[in-house]
Amino acid sequence: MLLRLKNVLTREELATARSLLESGAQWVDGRSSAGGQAVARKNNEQLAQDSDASRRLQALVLNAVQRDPLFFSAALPRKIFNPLFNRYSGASNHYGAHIDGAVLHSRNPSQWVRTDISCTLFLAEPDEYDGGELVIQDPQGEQRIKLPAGDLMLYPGTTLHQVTPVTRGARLASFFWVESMVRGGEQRRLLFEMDMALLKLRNALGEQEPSVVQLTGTYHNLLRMWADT
Amino acid sequence: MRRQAALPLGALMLAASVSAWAQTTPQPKSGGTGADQVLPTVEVKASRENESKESFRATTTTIGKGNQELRDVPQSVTVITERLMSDRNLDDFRDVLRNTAGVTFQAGETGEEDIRLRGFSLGQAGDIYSDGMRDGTLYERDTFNVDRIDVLKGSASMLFGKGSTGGVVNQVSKQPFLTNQNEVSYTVGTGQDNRLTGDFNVVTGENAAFRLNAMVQDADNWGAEQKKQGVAPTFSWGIGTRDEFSVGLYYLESDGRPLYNHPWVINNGHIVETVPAKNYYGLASDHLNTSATYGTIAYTHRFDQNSQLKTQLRHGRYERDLLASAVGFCNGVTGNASQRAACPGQQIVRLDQVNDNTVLSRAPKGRIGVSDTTQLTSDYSGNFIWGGLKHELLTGVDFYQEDAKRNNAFTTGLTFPFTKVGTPNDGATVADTRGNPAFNTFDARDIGLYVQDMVSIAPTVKLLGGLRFDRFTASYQTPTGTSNERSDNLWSPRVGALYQPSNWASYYVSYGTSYNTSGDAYQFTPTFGNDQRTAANTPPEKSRNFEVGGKWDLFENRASLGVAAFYSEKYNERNLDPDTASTQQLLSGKRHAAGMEFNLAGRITPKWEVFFNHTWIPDAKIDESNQVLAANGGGAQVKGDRPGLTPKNSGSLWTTYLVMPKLRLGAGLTYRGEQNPEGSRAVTADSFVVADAMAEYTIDQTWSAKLYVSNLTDKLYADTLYRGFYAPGSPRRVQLTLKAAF
Repeated sequence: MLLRLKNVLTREELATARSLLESGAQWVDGRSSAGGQAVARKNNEQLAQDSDASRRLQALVLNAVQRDPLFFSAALPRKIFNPLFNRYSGASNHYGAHIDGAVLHSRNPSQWVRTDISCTLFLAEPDEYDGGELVIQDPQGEQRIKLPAGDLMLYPGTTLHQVTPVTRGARLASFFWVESMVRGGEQRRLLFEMDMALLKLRNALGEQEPSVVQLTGTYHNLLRMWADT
Repeated sequence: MRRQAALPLGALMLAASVSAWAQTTPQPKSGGTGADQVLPTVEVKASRENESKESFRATTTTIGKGNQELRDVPQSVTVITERLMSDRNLDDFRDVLRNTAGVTFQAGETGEEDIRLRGFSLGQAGDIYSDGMRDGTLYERDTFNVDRIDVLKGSASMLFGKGSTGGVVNQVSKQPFLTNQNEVSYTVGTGQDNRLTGDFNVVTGENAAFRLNAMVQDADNWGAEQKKQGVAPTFSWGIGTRDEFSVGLYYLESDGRPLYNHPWVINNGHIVETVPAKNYYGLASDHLNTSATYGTIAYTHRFDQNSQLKTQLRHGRYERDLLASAVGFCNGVTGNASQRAACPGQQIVRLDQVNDNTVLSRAPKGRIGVSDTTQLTSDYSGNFIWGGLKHELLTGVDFYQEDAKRNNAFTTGLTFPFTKVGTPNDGATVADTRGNPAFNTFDARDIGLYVQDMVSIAPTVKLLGGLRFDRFTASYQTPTGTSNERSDNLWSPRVGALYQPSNWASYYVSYGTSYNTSGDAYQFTPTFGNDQRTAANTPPEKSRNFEVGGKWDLFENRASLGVAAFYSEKYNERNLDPDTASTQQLLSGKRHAAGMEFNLAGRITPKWEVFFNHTWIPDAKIDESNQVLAANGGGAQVKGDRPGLTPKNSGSLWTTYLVMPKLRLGAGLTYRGEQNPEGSRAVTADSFVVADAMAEYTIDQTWSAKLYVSNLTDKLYADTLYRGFYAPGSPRRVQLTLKAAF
């Protein structure tokens, strides 16, 4: 399931993030975080994970996704990888087609995270750069994605994806992974759709409507059947 | 503060336990504490085709051309959804407007022409639209094929061209959608009223659907009969895809007898209603037969990134044939010879003089007209980044051609018999000996080009600028062959600014202008010679509107609130009031109306729904006029007076509550403050409040039953006003509706 979450960052947070990324951030070669096969395809810059700016940005992004109810409903997160930050510009401007490593080690907190879901949080406006599309190979075909700053794209970690070369300006983004309580993508999708439909019904009929109560119970029972904690 | 937001279950379960993932505890927002942090509302919008059926609240509108969020329109907009119309049995278009604040009615015109918004005429200049195209005047409109009605208040010639001094009303037709859904509804009510409607939507292919709306109604109305039938099939294909097409037909016929007016007596300047609202004193041979027939072809091409080009072509014919009785108290003292003979000595000046033997006079009123119109509109709306800024561009062209024939005083040779108060609906008839009508003809063409850009100069600030050019050409001809031609080139600007600090608040200021070409108001009286006042060859009248306001989403995004302050001014130099069809010189130069609008629509709680709108016009004045004060202090409004049909307060409230899972109760109030008729400064109609109530029971998934009582207290009030008479609001009516949705 591909899902776009709008305005995950507020305007103020976006401004804060941008100033942190732009004022003396320590950028390192992105190949330092790539696995063996991906190294050959990766050509970008990444924010040093231990820098002060990186830690503040991580808190900011985690805080933002934590606020976002749609993120929870769609991801049903069990663990979230500490967010990373990248920049595509100049000569370091693309990341060829790859599949993310299945299990990655997150430093903060130190833990292994299975990458069920990939997340890209756009931090530059689409008109600030040319190229730099996130291209996802979906069973339905190829999705080319370029979102406004502050929006987040959520997509299965199992997909082959790439970032096309940036030919002008700089593409700034945060990326991270989620290990979900519900491992199967199809099951997650069904739960999300049910949750959204229930939201409409709860708004329209109220929480006390017996059919709403019953369906809510069904949602929880499906979650109980499928979730690992 | 927006708390207890409706949250997805997944979020409810997890939101409380997440902070362990973040290394640092989230920072509270400035000015708040950690406890103040509120989860944002998740808004899952009902799919658009269902919004109007399910809620009193609409979030988008097409009244600004294209399809816009209401919060992006820098003017007051009241939207009456299908659910509200269905709840309140608002079958007649005027009933919809009766429940819209700021709307008043001139009596005696019987058609749809003399509806006023903020005191300015709506119908005369063609401010009533259907799907963004001018709706034909003349006919009795019905809501059986209407999805929602948008009322945009204030000048908007930039979007619509001529007209729109008080605002415009747009009826949005029901469109096919991609779900099989059918609805049949039958209503039986007092006045031997029977109405059957059907709404059928059938999916015929992957992206194609057919929708059929049909209606038949037969009401006795204690003499003021009305028989209506309408059918509106529409087929759309490519729905929601890059190229969407639609072909539709519309036919509506209404045959009946109008309750033209009731007579009044005046007590200390106040109108006193004299006879029961339901009494019909017209002849059995009176009639008001109207029809509308039109076909529409529409094509929408969608580009990437929410850009689209929508083109519509419509050709239609609209007809009206009216022969009605204007009813008055027979004056046997100072009346003409026939009156003196019919009611010797009778002169009614007080209510206590009115009894069953009081003689009433009937004067024939005849109007007949036919209009053929062809319209083409093509609107492009697109979003793009240019110069580093986000632009929302709206541009288009529209073409309008009307060939009209009118005779607005077609009573040659007719004399109507007298009747008595005690014998309403007396069954008397008069043979129609008028022969063929002599017509004034009017051929008008208008081509308009417009462009508007809304630029986001900062994430929270949008600037709006628009300009429209119209070339209006018309030719007029009297039955005797006197003719005249006129053309105008007109520019209409519009500017505005929006400040949207959050996704639930929007604040705006706007300025727009409008004009009325004289051809509209006086199209059928191209008078020449010494009296140039009523000549059609007069420059357009101009108006402007300033507005400042705010729109908010409230109650966890279930409801919308709009508050605005406005100043509408008509400032042209023409010494005529184009808002009245009279040849009398009533108003001149300048007048204004200043006040506030309040609109609230949506759910306060999931079970409690509200629709409220209120217009407050504390300040309305004729600033310049050459109308001379009548010797007795009465007569028409003069400089310094408040314009007629402009009450200080008017409003409407409708609220329902789901008291049990299957039972919904509703109640409503409609209020209009005291007002003067147009052209009668010393006569005042009292304020009134009308109460309605409803109980709806859902029998099962398919069936529901509804009992609706309008005008609970059977209040007798002057709903529509003319300078010598009024027409009463509807008496108490009880209606039972059985509806099947399958």
